[in-house]
Amino acid sequence: MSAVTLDTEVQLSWWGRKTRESLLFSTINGIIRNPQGMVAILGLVLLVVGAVGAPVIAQHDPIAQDSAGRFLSPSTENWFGTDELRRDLFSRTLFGLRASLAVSLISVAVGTSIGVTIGFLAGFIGGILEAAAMRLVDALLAFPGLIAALAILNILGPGVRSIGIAIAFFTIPAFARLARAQMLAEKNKDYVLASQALGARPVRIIFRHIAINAFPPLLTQMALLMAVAVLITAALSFLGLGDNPPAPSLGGLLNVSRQYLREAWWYAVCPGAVFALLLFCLNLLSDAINEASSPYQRRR
Amino acid sequence: MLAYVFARFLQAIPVLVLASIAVFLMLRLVPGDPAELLAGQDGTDEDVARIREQLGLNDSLPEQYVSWLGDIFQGDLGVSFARGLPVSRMLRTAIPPTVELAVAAYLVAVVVGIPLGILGGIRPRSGWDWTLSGFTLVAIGIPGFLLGIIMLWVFSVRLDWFPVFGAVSILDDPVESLRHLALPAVATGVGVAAVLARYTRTTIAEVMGNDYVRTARAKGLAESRVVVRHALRNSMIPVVTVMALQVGGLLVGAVIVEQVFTRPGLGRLVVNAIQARDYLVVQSTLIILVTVFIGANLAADIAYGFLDPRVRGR
Repeated sequence: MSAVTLDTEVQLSWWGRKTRESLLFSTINGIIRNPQGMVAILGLVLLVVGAVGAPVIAQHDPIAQDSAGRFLSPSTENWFGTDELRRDLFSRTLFGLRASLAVSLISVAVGTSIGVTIGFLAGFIGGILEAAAMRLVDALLAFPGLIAALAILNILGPGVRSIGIAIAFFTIPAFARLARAQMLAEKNKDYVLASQALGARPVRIIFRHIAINAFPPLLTQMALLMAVAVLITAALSFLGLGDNPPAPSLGGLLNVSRQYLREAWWYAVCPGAVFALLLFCLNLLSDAINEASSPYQRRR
Repeated sequence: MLAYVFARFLQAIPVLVLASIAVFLMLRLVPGDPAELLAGQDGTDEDVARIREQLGLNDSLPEQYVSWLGDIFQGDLGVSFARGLPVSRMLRTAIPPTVELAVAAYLVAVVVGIPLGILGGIRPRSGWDWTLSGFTLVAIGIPGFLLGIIMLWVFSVRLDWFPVFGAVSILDDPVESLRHLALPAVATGVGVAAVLARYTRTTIAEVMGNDYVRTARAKGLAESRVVVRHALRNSMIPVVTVMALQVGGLLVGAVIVEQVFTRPGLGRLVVNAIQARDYLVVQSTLIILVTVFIGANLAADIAYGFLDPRVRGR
């Protein structure tokens, strides 16, 4: 099934730049036309605007202890209420979201770049190098994400930086494996042989021709790993291994809120809802990308 | 069959060795001198020298690894520098609550997930199927610790049905133990239940479309018999594999959810140890978690061989 579609893509991309854009375009188009994808994008835009614009949107300082009282319930003044130190929870949630997104995005991006490069090179070069790289990747994949993260935190000590490194670390093998598979599927196709015959250098062939055809599956994987990264970041800061107080994080807020469930339910529920919305949108998005980039599923 | 099981065991050994080397090297990768780290800030020079001697840090790395592994097999995991207790004794008290939680969560996952998946799979696009889709979407999306906090608020704080924190051994007081287990088990198990349900649904739906199911129906068999005798049997093979594979994920989930309900277990142990930079404790906990994980994968492989003769034949 997928072989057929890849062939048409290959033929299209022969004709140059315009059709390459259209592969990306058709994927994006598919996401937007899918109701799930639309919901995911709207939700994510809302959350990203909130996170990026946090300094402007939040009327309160996330650290200043300047509200009228402790544990005020949600109101027009404090949308998410206040915490045990008279801080505004809406501001803290926004800034926490900002921190979580920043860590996840940066570390997944770094891990993806390294992983894809390893996978492409391994697949393209082949031989002993490929075998060695892939055995290493298998070994890395054998460690479940959180256990590997705990090991890295043990080495580097708790903190946001260590969490970021841990996430990049487990992003690498997943992408290396996928990128290698993509490379193997593409590298003997006519268009690659043609550009080789025309004298294109390997780097150009890999990143200019093959990478673009291998793009949609990598995108799906990236959305999926963003969800995992957000989850692991939150889980680790929930365990108290990622924070540098008084700076807020989504997991950290949930952790502290546990002690005050009796006094202030909104302390857990409001940041929790934002966190759940984020994960929900990321999961929907990866489903939507998956469907959009696989015509077989779309047709059903 | 025996040969197949044996071969799988042999294949697991290199993975286990690699994993143990990784965990062993972890302590050596910590910036600084391991002996000084283990002695802590208050450690005197004699302490450092004693620890260096104990860990055999003067030997070569392979020698150190072999003696470390030998110690583990003899149950000697070293002494926690933060608490001054033997690590093996700390683990002995921390493991039972986590195992109880993981087993309870596993039961929740299987009892909820498999029937829901079967119902959704035999009647696609029915009410059951929509219930299933909604359930999986929510249950996979919401992480266990968030679900745990919400349940803690609703059932323990507001309704006061369950205790707010702690754990009681099932051997000491079964009723009280179950009361402590109920919420954490659901919080840990629901996500896995969703994975199992989704998987079961897909495989059943696939099998139900097969020719032999149509033949069975054409023979005039009752629908229940078609489902139980023909469809279920064949679709359960991959499901059993997934069930075994989920054990690792469940254990990791339990480690986090423990923190929500303040249960004393492996999770609390490892988190406190990382915060206190109690390296030996973390190292030992990780070795246990990784071994369970690899064991679960092995069990999945073996179960697959038992259930599907074609796999064995390869």
